[in-house]
Amino acid sequence: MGDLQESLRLHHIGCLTENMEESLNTYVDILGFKKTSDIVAIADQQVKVCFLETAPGVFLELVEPQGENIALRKILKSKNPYYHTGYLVKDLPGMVSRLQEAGFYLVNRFISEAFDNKECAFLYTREMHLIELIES
Amino acid sequence: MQDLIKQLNEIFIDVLDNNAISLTETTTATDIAEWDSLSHIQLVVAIEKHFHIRFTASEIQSWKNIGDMCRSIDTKLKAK
Repeated sequence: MGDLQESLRLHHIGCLTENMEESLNTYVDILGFKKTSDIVAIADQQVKVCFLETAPGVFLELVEPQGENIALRKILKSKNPYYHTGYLVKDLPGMVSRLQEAGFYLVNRFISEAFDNKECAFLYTREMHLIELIES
Repeated sequence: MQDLIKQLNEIFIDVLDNNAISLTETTTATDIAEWDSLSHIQLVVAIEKHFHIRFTASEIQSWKNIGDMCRSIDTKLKAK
């Protein structure tokens, strides 16, 4: 299982925000990160997201919950906004299976408008850290 | 079954932070606003810790309601 690292490439850290515009002001206008996407609505996930490049190939994903989205609003309320890490993988179904065999819990698989309609999956590690896989 | 539901009810109240939850065999995720895909896994892990058991991915996916969940727990406990 130790060889999985070669199949995972860190792409982003997910950061929850109550107000996308305020966070864009913080990270783009003040910290100088480069906005590399439009603000994209992902209906299936009840969120709006925007990607900022913090270093070559490493992004911050600002995530603003939409509608009720009780789960993300609960995390936001806990004052722990950096709530998931996203990794590019070449074989998403294969990686999901391998991680499930290793004891990870599959939360869901979905098509993401934020990644040109590529397949993504959220999984919890055994200690309940949330990771996202994105088919590269 | 009723004792298991009672124990599950306490876990659900704790994980979902909703004191109004009152589970029955036929309760499903659509009956509880806080029970979504993220919190579902949090519930599974809390149940595993409480009963000292471990579910497979296919078992978790097979549950349609609280009754299914209880039968799965009961089977695990009897096999211990």
